[in-house]
Amino acid sequence: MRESTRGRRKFRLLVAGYGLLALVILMGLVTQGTVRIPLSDIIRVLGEELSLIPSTLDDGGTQEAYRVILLKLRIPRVVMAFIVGAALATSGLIFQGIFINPMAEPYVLGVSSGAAFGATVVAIFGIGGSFLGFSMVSLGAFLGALLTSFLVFTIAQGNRSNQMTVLLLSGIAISFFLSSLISLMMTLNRDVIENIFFWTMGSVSTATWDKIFSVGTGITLGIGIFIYYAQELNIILTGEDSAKALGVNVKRVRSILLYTASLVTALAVSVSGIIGFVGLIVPHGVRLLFGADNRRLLPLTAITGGLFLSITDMIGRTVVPPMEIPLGVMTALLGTPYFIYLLVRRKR
Amino acid sequence: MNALNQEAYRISNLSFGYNDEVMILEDISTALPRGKVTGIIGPNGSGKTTLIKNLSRVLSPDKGSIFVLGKALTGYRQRELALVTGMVFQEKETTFEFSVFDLVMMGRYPYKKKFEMENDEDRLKVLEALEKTDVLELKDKCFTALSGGEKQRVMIARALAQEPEILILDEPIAHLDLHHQVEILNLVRRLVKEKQISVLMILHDLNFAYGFCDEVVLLKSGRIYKQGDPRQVITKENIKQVYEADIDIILDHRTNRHHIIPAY
Repeated sequence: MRESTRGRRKFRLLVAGYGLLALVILMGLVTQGTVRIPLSDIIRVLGEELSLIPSTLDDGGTQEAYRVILLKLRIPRVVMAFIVGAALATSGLIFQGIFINPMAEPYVLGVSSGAAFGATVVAIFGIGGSFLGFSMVSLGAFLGALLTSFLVFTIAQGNRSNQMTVLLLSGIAISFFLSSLISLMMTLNRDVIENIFFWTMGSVSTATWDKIFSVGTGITLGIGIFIYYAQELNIILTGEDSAKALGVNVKRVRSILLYTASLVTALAVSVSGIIGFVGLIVPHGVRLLFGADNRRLLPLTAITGGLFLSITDMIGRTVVPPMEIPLGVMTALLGTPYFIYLLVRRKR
Repeated sequence: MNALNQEAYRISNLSFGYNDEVMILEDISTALPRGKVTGIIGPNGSGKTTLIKNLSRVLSPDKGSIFVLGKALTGYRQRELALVTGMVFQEKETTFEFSVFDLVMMGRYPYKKKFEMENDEDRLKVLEALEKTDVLELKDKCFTALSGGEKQRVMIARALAQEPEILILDEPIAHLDLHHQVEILNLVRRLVKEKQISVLMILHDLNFAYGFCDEVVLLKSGRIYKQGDPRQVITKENIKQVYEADIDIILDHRTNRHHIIPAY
């Protein structure tokens, strides 16, 4: 009779342990870079910054240099990668759930190309300046992602009998359309190609604490909403009609999750550009290992997605210094083999 | 009031169509008895599934009204309705890998507040339901790994865990072998007898409809052709009219049971 209670306690321990492990790994990632910074120095800088330990006397500039590298560059970047990874992975998980389709992913639904399109428009028309610490390009990406996803959902809602198919197909169609427009604009405006290229490849190199706080808050709230509706989503997955019969307000839960997931994706994309694949492979990988219960999957997927992206970013920025391999390229290169391994292993 | 207490459903002038041109259900008015097994029969496309989806509010009628246990269907809150009616549909089954136990536990959803933990009572109800439908030993298995018949029994277990007053089943024995067909129908009878619940089920097999139902509703092109005691409804003439097929009804003198066989 107690199995399930014990199971839940075990699961909480698992999540807590995993979270701790993630923290240790993130600290390890921070030590890596063109300048290696020993863990002891990281702890000292962090301790001083949080006024946990008294400030040590400067030993000729090294400390100060570490401080700047850590606080201004490296830690924000690792944290940003973690947040973006968690956002993309959990919203991918939610998209797959609400569309009852394992293929669903921000990219397929047009969200990512919408973001790139928005960024491109802003870059080409040379709208400068910033708003709440965000560049106009970020804002353009955010709006592009939101507008595209709403457009796709509206098209699908017009067709009641075949919503899911129409949704995926219109998402793919609009993606292609926008990608063509982006290519067209790039051809006509060769001078800003570099800037747009950044959006289509993905990067967290421009991370700042301001961005982390604003985007991070939105994403955390979003993931909270996902967790709030996790059991409803479980029930919807077993059949829409049966879910209604069990008292789930299918329409409402589905649209809340849909819009929240689009927002979370748009927030992530606005600071990172297009990073494909994380929303697809991370949730599937976690599902293959831990089963289908979204109440369990959400925390595990968030941590795994975050770790995956911050590790990937660390490798991307350290393997061929001073060059950086774009994040979008790294996620596909590292993610695909592991994903295929999981699929094959499961067959047996 | 007394008449209402005898009724699970009262349906007045119910019409429904998926689009404006073709009506699937046309002007149905009837009452379905409480505490009995009611079978819904009729040829493919006669509106059986559409009817039960209207009764369970999965679909909303274009015209007419439905009362459930004396209260208007539209007046129920979604969760409140889930405490009264449990349903098993013929659905495209999930490809997501839930364990049988977790799946049946979802039947307890309408009883739970947000973030309320499942307690020993819930677990007991789930195990009971699993036992009744003979799938207890599968409880830790993954749903997607089960056979069609096992899946069907798990879905029925989930509806039982919901402890409804009315149980609606869409072809509950469609994918089952002979042993489990009889088992499920006996279970249905037992539930009606012991717990006084009302069962409404779509059946294709006229023999089972004849032998297991207290009442049958015979649908033809979205209208009720006949309703009442199976012996009065499932007759050579009615079946000929509705199914355009000839049958013979034979009395087996040893068991004193009637058998319906297609004549060809």
